[in-house]
Amino acid sequence: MCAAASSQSAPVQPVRYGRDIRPLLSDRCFRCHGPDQNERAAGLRLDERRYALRDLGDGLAAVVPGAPERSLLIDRIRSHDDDERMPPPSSKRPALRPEEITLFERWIAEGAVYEGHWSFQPPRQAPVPQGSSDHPVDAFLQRRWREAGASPSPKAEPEALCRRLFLVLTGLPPTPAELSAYLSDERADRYEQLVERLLTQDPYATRHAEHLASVWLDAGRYADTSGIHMDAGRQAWLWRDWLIDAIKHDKPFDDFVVEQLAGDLLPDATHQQRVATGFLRNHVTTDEGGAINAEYLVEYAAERTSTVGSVLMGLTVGCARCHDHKYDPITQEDYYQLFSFFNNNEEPGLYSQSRDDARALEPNLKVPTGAHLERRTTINAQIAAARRLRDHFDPDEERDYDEFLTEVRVELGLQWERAKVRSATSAGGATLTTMADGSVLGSGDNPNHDTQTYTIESAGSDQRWLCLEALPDASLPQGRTSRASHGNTVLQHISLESHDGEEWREVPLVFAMADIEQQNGDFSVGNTLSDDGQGWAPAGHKQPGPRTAWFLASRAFGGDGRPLRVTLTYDSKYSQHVFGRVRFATSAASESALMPAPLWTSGYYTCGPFSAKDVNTHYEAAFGPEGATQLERGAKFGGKSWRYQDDFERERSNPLTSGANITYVAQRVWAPDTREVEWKIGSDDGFQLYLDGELVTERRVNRGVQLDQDRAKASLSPGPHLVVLKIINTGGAGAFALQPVHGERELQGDLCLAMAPGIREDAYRSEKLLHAYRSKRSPTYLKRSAQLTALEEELKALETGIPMAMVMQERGEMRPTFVLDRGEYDKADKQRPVARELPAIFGPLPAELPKNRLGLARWLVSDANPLLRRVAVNRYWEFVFGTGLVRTSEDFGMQGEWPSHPELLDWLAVEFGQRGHSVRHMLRLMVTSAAFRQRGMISAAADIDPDNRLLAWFPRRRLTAEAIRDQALYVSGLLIEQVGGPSVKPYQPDGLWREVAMLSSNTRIFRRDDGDALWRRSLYTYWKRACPPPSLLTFDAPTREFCTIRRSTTNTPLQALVLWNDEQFVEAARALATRTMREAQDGDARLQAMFLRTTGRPLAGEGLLQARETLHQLEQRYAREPKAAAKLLAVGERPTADDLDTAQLAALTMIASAFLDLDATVYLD
Amino acid sequence: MSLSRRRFFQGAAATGLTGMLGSTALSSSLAPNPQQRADGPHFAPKARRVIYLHMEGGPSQLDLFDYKPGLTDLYDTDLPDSIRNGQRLTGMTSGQKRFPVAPSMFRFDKRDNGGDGVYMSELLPNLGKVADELCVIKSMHTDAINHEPAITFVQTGNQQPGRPSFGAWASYGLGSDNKDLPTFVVMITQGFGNMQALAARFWGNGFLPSEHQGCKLRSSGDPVLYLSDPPGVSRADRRRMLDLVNAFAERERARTLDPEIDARVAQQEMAFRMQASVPELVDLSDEQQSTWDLYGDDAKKPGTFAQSCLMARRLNERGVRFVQLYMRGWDAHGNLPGEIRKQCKAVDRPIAALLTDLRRRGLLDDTLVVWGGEFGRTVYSQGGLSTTNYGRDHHPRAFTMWMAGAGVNRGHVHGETDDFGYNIVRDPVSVHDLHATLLHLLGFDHERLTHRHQGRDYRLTDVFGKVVNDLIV
Repeated sequence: MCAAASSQSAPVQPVRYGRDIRPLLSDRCFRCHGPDQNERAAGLRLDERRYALRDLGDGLAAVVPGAPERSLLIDRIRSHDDDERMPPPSSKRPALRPEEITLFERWIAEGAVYEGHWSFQPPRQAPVPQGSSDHPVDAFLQRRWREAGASPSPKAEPEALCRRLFLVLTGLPPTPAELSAYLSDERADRYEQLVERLLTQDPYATRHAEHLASVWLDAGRYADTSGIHMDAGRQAWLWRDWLIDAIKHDKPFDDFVVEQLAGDLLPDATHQQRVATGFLRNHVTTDEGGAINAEYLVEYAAERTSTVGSVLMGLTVGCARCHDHKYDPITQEDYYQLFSFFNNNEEPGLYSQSRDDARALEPNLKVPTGAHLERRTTINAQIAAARRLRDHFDPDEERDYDEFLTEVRVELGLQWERAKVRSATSAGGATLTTMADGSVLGSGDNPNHDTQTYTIESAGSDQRWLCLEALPDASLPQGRTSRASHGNTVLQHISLESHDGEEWREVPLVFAMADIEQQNGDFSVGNTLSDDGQGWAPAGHKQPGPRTAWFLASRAFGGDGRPLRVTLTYDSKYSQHVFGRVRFATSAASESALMPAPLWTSGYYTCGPFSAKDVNTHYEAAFGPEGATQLERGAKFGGKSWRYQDDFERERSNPLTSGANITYVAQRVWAPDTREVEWKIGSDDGFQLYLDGELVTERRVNRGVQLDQDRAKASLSPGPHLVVLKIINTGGAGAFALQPVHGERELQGDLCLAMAPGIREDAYRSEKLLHAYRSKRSPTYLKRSAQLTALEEELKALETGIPMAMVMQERGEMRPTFVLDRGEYDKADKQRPVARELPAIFGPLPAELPKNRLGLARWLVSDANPLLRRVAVNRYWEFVFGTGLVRTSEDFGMQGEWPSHPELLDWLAVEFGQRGHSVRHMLRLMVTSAAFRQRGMISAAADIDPDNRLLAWFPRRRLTAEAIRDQALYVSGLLIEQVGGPSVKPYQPDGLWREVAMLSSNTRIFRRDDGDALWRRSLYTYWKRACPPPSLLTFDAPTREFCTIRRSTTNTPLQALVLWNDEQFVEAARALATRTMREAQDGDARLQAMFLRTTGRPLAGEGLLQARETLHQLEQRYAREPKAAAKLLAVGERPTADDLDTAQLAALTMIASAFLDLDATVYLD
Repeated sequence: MSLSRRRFFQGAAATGLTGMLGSTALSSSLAPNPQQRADGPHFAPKARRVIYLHMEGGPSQLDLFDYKPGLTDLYDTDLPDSIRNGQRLTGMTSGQKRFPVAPSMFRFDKRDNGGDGVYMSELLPNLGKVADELCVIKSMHTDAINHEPAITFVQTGNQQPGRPSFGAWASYGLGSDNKDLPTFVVMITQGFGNMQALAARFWGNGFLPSEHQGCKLRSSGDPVLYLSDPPGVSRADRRRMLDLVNAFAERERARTLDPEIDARVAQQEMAFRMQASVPELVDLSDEQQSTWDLYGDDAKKPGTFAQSCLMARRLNERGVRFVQLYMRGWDAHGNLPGEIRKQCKAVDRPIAALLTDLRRRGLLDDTLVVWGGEFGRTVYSQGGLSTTNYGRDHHPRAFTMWMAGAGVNRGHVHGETDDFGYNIVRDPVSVHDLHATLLHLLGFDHERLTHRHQGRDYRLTDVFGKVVNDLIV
């Protein structure tokens, strides 16, 4: 049969070591008789001639040139004895076949010539063979055809060639119009013109860049998530966009490589050059809590090393991580020298976890566009101006402020007058001296506790307010208000008495306010009204300045020269916490209302948790606190008492003990007058609200807490009140929120100072008040402030909208690299430190190059590197012809495949360098060859060359995953051609991410995009590594967890299911049918138009008959069942045309679906 | 096209062009096309199918299988340094000041296994009743201390992403036994305890052709992705459409002579059949009452582990080569007793039911069942310790797995750990050893089931692994 025929017809050529012998040695022998010294058996090495010829004793040698019969190697491989035969059965390597043994014999007979591995020799450009073609590609191919006795195929039909060229270069087919324009073009060079247009003119040039980019996206393992553990979202797309741009502008391949490996190290590196280094950052990273930093730093550097090895050198250098390479001349030392170039990035091994699913993992780079920068400058200037305007206190605003102060005083009837001090005594023995300003200064003895009695006289009669001012004094510690060394005071109690001519009678104080209350601890000024020993602390140790408290009496006092007596009790556990200098004032009050005076509240107290035996009675169960009318600190309720809660805050939900239980929360409230008060309540779960021991309202509910879930109203009389909230937690977390609703006119916070006396005379207090007024009340300020806030928000949005890239960045101090025993991160061999250097086989890095990634990159693209250009042109050959001249495009090492056309590969490699590393030039050269333009049908040459390595016909092949989807979107008119930007999330079945993700992963929930984002080209589809886009994966797209040089092409039933049923393909079929119904009127014309669009071919004959018949049947079926038609047409987000006949449209949709599924559609030939 | 030419296409890889073409070799025979499949078993397989129950998160061997009654007296004492012996810790406990011993709070019962008996926790009452089916390996150990690398390791033989999964190797090696269903099916159950991430790589094809990747059988939506025809498309419509496509394919085949077109027609027809066979597979209405008695009513609820077990049996009886169940939620760093109770409640009865069911249908004779997580858990408590509450960190040095079914040494208890269940003192079994043993049962010499990728012949066991003969008969 054919084998015999071909061996007769083929001229016998000498055996070549590199092509015929070394692969056999490498596969069967080198594991034990190769470069790895640790595994070498019997001291025999076969990888170099001098060792193979060496005398093994008794005058015997493995290889005796010219004498196969005396060569031990032949003896051993021919042996039938299991103990003798090589390779031995224990090696698990297959035995050599007879024809392989014959090759060995011939090789030795011909002199056992060794030669260096071809890919390590510099490529030399052999002269283009003379022949019938002046196209260099064809000239080389023809020589092989002649040698093998094969002949090329006839030219492809022009329409087939046109479609092929479109799909190969742009990944999208020609439109019928483009096709017909090409067919009617009468220029002799119409094909070359088309090539030129597709490579250089938009929209084709962009489509071409996007299509070619996906090859490099696989190699560069580009994805949108980190891959491990949380598989967190990351922002990496700027690198993808850099790539598209580089291809579109035919960036010379040497620059393309240098920028990706070392853009950051280029002098005056631009943003874009630094973005390019994302190539080295696209690997998977971990954020798993228990992961070990040092381990992953090694993994990242190792990953970069092996990716650079595969992509740019065509070498499987990763094999030498654990031991010397078994096949290629790369030692473990060589490996770690290369590794050390990538081992110095400013990065963590273990990344932190983050909610941000658009985080650019550090080191990163903000990459603003010109528009961003311009807008940022403008906004910053606007912000500065707005802030100046806001901060400017102009006369108009000052007038408003004066009015405000006056209104407050008028409304409240305030007319403060300083009280005259008649006498002051200290029970503790301090000396109290009356000063010129009417204040009293303490000096002399400084008792730990004191009770001070001041006899004063008010200027006016019918007074209701008493004001206590504590003033700073230079004689006091730190010049503050207290006699205690650190400046704070605790005033336990204040009382007021009036002398009615006969005796001192108490004037009850029912309401109190203060400018400052200490926040941590139970120190509300209201405490001074009762004699329970707690007191007011004004945080005198925290900040300097005076303090003011003022108290409302329940009846009028003063006037007629009658004396008043004020007693200040300082009796806390804190020693010497006594005001050092005090002053008093009194004022009348409005008779009608005290509205601007705020409702005064304490912090929160809790009592509990309590639990009842039966959860069902929790609402009914009473433990005591609900009946309380005042806060008794010592009171016990079932052994529990009130506890003040420092950490609880207003306007917030505060946590309580979890589990099924009851907790009471109390807040003290002081009202200056009779007023209606409303409370905002939140609870987890139910609550009962008590005011002064009476139930106000309750809510029986199971829920989580929110700030404002329920409201309750009650009327308060002047004076102190106790609000108790009983929280009934039925299980799980417990929490509450409780807050009175303050009237808009109430003087909250520092605004209360508007009520205090002598504000204008005191810079400290007047500034605080002014600030409070402006930020809360001033219409001018509030308006300007809102303008400023809007600008600041805009700036923030602008900043977060600036894209970020993940980049390389060298550490300042170099991380030392050692050989790692068996490649394990924690087994650094300290005796074997390594420095950055090339693998020994390539010689040292030239002295003029820096010993860093930039030096390495420059060497990689230099003439000194025999591999890069070959690897690159081979990859482009694979892009054009489906298979490389070296089929193992990822491996040019000794286990890789011998090139099918070595001279052509070298010719192309040299040409590439000489033509400025122009990828476009190389692609143009390839697609203009006759080999590219021949028919795609399998020819008779298959008998001698079934794999079509000789390219005797154009190798037809299935489109890539991306191209299949893109084509469907394109022919149906759905495709949105928008270049770059963040990745998009088109249709995918529900729940896929959730099934595999961590609960707190920020890519756990897939949120499908809407509108245009559904119909972008597939290279923009969001790539979650733990769950890549399922329909693309089905068509052999890789997971992008590691570098993929070559995809496999499989053929599975799941692929059919995608084309039939994936929502996006069903929608595409409907859109294709819709546009076709509009473009063509009758059934046949529609079928023909649609077929032309999907396959680039006319539809006639039997095919047309069958399609017509099927369409007819489907039309009848959908006419009978309009509901089914409506359902089919409702698939997908694109609105359905309502002006078309639904039965016809549904039927044509099914035909469109069939046409999208045709071999002629999903294949390129 | 001539018969000889067709044979060429199919067998090009194995034929060896060197001999055919003499010295004008076009390509070395050593770099064949990516092989779609291996050349079948190396020797007669014991097991023809596998059901692999992966307990994601690392179940506590100390609370389930590795009975250490002596620990009760050592409650809250410090784990001796001599035992810990420089063990590397995860970042989660490396900051812990003490390593207090936490004895299991659960009772262990000695179960009849047809031999010396085997101790099993009270949490596994049903599994205990079928203990005679099990070969329990108490001496598993792994190299990885964190979930991602550890699951990747136990599923693919390597800690870093990139290698094919065990199921993909099995598919590559054995091919399909059912023309209407995928060869390798994966099901995922959400757990009750702390859940860790899963990733497609755990059932991925790595560098093997993607037809060998695990096909997820899902409990909601389409059981197999994209299986259902769109609304408004009937079985007859699909048939019509497919007939039309096939008619075009036939002409295309005649025009191009490309045999790949025949293959594609065949795959499309299989897709059409799957559209019927998968719904039939997941339609449980044909199950007898005895099934529900066995698996429990949980098996009627989609997404439960019980239903996955029942589905595993249905897949198995239809000849699906490799079924893998993932049960999430075993990562009990804290509150272990509470979590493991719920986890066990969900898996104990269904697993016992699965073994019983396979046995009574005769399927267990040539089916291999494997149970285990990616590592074990520490004897010392992580976080707070009381007699009834504790947590355990990851422990790679010793953990328990078990096998049952075809070729398995039933009733054998393999290996032993020290008094703390911390270190292996007898018969350690590495992950590679386990893989070698499992492949052996499937008829493969693990050193010869290889695939050429990037110039190297890769295998599931990397360069390690040996068959553990005690585990098999």
